[in-house]
Amino acid sequence: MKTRPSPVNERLGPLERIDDYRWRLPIGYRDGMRVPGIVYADARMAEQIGRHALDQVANVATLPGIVRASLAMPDIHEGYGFPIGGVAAFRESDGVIAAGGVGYDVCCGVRLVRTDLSLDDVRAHRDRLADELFRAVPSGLGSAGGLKITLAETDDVLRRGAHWAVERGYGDPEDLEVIEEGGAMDGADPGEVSARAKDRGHGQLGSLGSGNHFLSIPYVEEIYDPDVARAFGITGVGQVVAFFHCGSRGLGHQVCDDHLRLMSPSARRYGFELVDRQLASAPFRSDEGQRYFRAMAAAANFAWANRQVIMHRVRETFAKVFGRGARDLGMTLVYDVAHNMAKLEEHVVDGEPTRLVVHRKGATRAFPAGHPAVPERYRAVGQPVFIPGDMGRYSFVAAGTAGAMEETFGSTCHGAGRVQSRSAARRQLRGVDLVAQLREHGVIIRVRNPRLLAEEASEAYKDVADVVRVCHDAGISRRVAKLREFIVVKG
Amino acid sequence: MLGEMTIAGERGYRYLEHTADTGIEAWGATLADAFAEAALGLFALMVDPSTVKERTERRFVVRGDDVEDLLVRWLSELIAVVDSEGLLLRRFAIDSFEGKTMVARGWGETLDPSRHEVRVAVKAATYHRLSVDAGPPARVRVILDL
Repeated sequence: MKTRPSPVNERLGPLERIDDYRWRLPIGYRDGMRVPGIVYADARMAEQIGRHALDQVANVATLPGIVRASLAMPDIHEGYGFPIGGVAAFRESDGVIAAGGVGYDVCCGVRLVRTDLSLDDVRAHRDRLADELFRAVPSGLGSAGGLKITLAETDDVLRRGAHWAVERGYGDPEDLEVIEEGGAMDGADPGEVSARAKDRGHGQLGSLGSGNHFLSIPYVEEIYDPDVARAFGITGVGQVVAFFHCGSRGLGHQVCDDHLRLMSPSARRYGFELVDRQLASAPFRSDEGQRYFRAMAAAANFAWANRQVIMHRVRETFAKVFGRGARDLGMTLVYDVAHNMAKLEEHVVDGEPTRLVVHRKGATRAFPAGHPAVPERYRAVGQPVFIPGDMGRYSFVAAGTAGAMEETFGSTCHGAGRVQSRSAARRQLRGVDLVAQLREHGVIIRVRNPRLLAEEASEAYKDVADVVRVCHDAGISRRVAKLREFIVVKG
Repeated sequence: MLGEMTIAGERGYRYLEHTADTGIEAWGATLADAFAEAALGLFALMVDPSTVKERTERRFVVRGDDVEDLLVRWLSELIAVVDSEGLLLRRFAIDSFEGKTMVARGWGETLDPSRHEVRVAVKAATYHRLSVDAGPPARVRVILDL
């Protein structure tokens, strides 16, 4: 690990400073830790990390087969089981897989679509574009995706992910080249997905959901690395793009719920201690572990199909508003990242290539240039990474690095990270007209229930620029471009 | 841990702070009352209950590995019917409650976006910082993933 020398005995609560961007949570912070925790943060962020989140970093460190350290990205905050922003890798041979290490929104992720349009092209059509997007992409509680698919077809979606969507006419075959796992994870088994999960999710295919999920139309405000940006199709300041964040809807939530229960007796059965019920885990090679992995892959495929359908509707909407085809508008998919996943990957541990089950719970895979899992068109520059901020500000495009591969199992941050609870945000912003305030900041928003906006306001989040800067300076991802919000659609 | 007091007194619920999500604390003379209050708190996150009419009755039989698990499974059942049936409930009766098993009824109607003021969707009830105290008075706490 690359570290700079630092003064000894420098502490922040239980955290020991390693260097400007790394803090160690030592073995012994709690009983049973097999490895230390390592948190990526600058001193100011490290101070903001709550005790519950640090406890979760330590709890993850007690799970069997964990390698190197229980990691947390700078957007760390309290989750359930794993912290949000948590990364942990377990040996395939004798380590575990944890449903709580993936979370309820299996394969929640972010997609970026480029366009040839500039801010000047879009400005005159802004309100109509916002209205049409709000209509075309359902969001909020109870939103159905408008696809009439049978339960049998749902199984096909679970097996084949974005491929199913492309065959049904949602998008192009080239899109599949720039989705993690090519838009369909191997080993997915619809038989491991309960009838209730299918019942909850199948009507929701093609919808955004609620909470912090959104669809936005930002523009490129700043380019930090023109060569990498160009490789990603980001060609200049003022370029308009489409950006959205959503996951596997009720289907994924139910898969997590079901398998947490299936796995809960595993600790006793396989002889390890579980310090938190939400960390229910099973050896990766056990029957319970494999069943979860196959169900998780199916839910991931559902999420990729969902994002494929949504992207298609975004393209259709642009074509309608601008009177030109999506292809003519240059609307190529840049990439699709998943930030709630467990994946079987090979990493070098103590000098040996080792098969690991890498859990990223609110963390993004960030593979470097040259890695075979990076699509060919990006292999010279590294995998694209997207880090959404809060709706009032900006988001970032980054690229994977060799540093991430060495230190974080090829992972970086996934978002801004909350600092304020929903109710605290509501209290602070009581009586504030956020729609008007956002408009003053140059953002127009279409939202089902404006009263909920306060919960997702800028005040509730860390500044994503700080999170991205720490990852850049620590060398676990490379900053490429900044996107400024312009139109936001949410539930 | 200041929450928003909704109903004071012998039974009720309030919301607990959690950085990313939200929690419910519910109480009552018995666990059955506290579980019914937790259900009211859950639905009030999703919809303004005053906009929901009692048009249908739905029965639930729920089993858990223990009483804590029973609370999570009860709320999970309710979250699932919102997704799969679009059902919004505004009143509950717990007909029987025996440690790890409960039978309950809920009254409400199917989601109609033109009439119901919907709020945030709930993804799941979690085991994180879960607590069930039989009392008396009974008091339960659960964190929800939004």
